[in-house]
Amino acid sequence: MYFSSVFLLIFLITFKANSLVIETINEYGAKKNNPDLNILSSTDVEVFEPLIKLFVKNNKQLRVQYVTASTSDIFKEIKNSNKGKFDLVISSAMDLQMKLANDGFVVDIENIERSTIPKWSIWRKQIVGFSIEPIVTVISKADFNNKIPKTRRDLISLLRNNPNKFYKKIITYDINKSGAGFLFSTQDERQSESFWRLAEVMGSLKTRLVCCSSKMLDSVNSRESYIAYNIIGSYAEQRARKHKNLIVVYPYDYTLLLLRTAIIPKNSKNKSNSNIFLKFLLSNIGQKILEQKGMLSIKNREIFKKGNIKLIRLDTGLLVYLDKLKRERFISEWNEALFQ
Amino acid sequence: MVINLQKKINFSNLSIKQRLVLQLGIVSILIALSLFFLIKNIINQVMLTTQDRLLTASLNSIIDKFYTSNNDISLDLPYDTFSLLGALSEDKLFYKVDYNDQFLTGYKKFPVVSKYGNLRKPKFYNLIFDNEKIRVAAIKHSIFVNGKNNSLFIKIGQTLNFQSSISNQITNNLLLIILIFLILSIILVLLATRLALQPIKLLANDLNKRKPNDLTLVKNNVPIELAPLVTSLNSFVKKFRGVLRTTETFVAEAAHHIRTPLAIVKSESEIAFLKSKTRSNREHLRNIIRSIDETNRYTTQLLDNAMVLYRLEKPEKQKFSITKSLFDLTNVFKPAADLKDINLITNFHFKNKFIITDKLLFDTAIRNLIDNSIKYAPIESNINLDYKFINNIHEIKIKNHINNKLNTSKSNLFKRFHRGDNSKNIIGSGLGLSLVNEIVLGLNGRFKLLKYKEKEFCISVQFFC
Repeated sequence: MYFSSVFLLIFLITFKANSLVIETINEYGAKKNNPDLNILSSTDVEVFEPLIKLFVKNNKQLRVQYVTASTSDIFKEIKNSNKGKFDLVISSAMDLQMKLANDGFVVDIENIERSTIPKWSIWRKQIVGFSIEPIVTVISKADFNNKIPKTRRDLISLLRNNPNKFYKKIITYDINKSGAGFLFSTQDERQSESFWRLAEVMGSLKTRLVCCSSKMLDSVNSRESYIAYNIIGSYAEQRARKHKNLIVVYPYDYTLLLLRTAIIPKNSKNKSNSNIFLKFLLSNIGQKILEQKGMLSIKNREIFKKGNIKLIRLDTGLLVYLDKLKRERFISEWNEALFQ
Repeated sequence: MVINLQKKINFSNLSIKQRLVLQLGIVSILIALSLFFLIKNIINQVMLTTQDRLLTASLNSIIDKFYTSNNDISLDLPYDTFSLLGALSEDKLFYKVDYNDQFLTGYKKFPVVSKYGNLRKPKFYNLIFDNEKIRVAAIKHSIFVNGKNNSLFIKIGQTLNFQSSISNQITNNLLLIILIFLILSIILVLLATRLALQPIKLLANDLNKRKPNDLTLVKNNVPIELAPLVTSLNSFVKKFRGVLRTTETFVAEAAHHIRTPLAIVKSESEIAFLKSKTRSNREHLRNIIRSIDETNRYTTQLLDNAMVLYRLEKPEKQKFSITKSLFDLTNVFKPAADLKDINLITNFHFKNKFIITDKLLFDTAIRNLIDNSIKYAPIESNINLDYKFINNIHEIKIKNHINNKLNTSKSNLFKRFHRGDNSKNIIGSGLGLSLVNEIVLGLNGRFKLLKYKEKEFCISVQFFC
């Protein structure tokens, strides 16, 4: 088998034509000018690399390209581009994936064995979840003297009682830039009445706002920040295994559980290859490789024992916060709370 | 469909049962199909109404979420309503809100509707949006903003996945139910046909079981539909019986009227024979007397025959000793047997055995059998009369020797007026065996000719208890 991994471009190359900001591009498998399967994903390449390597090993004639970008950019690319450049879209922003499916930008996924995956992980044969992700809080152990906040209420009290200590020491997603961050915040608003109080407190402490989980983890690991709020669990656990200062907290009041989902764009030119890859991704081998890379299989049941797990349901409710008026109002209020 | 089938199938070739099964089967299938489409239609109506009510409820909750901000109107779209609409099925959801004919939020390209209803009674439409069939509910709602009345135009549309998935699910179950109904109805059709035709079958069986000379009236309890047939049948039997009786009476009377002059002719001929001097005259007179005897015998047999046929119509059953009757009859024929030095040997296995039947007919049959045996048995021979009672069957067997073996068929022997080729010089009418046959069959017995081809003639008659 011919195999190659080409690390073409790292960080922020802007294709002005469609505003897609590509973070990484990697290619695997047979040497060809054009890929047989072009995956656009918000999941780090390190997670998917072993999976794609095995896939091209089993399908020697195929060349797979794996492109990573932010969830917002992925959404815009699929919605606005008619070129059919991408064959499979993987994203943690369930709401944006739902919007694409509801608005007719995706096609049915073929040959899904519904009996082998949970009912809640699939919508209309058009969106399929392949991995689950708890949304956690990561804290710097050295800065907490064993008084770890277990709930959001604890966290609010802690922050209110120690404003000097936590001033500029909290970090979270900037929902203006991150689709995933927007989803977590909107789901927080649905779940908890204390969300806006927390946002107010975080705003008063000049919380740092970033685009992605890795930056939050870097910040806490370097003790630049003490608390990273709403961070993707698999990344946090992976980093915490290496760096003992990082403590992953599954909030006791509720822990959101999101689905990483896949869709096949309507204008994909290699739909059959997308279906083959998805079948492989959902197979026991595919799921096992994901778990080896620290992600949680869609079939994992252990996570539900970790506390009050609230699954973000894959249904049309997700469209609500994408409504123009509602989104504007939410972002406006959030900005007012965070930028005081 | 039924007419086409009738054209293809030639109904005149089908039995009543086949016709009934076919017609009722077709009716069952038609009922099953009608039921299927009727229920499916009702299910679709229910599904549509359910979806309409859900859309109406969602419009209500959307209306509750409008608010004014900075003298402008805004909407806080209810998450749970959208989630609920999606939770029932995996339907796509579209909406559009216009404020005083200005687009406020939702899908700009949402299809236009001609009329809007109100919250209590929205207008519903089946439309196409983004290549998907959608069910749309549309309302116009008045809202008081900035001191004046403003209009909100809200349209919410949902794909029909909910309808079709439930409808398909129920249709699959319904198909199974209809199939079971069809199988049951076909089984019932077969049973009903069988039951409906049972009286006809019973009537036919009863008529089939009748003996050829059984001309009693049909008294079966039959359904009113069959009553005209039975009445006609009885009317025919009555007419036939009348004709038969007239014929028999005529024959009997004729025989009776012939016998008296015959007796006179015979006695006159015997006197003439005694007085006759010439050999030739005596020979002629002997022939005349012989012929008169034969004619006399014929008339007696005819009388017997008429009596038997009349009596068989309504046998008078009585209990009597069969062994005694057989013994008496053999005694009656003893002198005649002695004339030919014939030894009449009786062998009764029972001393006294009773039978319930018509004694007169029974005696006539046995008398004819013994008479026949004595007539055809050679001089100085034996005639064996055996009686047995085995397995509730009375069997009388009579056996005698004959001079020459018979060259005639068994069926010919029972024909009236047919005489065997050994009957030359023996006075007889050819009615004896046919009469015995009639009686035995008439009394529900069995008549068997056991031997007749050899120089032995053996007959068995059986009567059942």
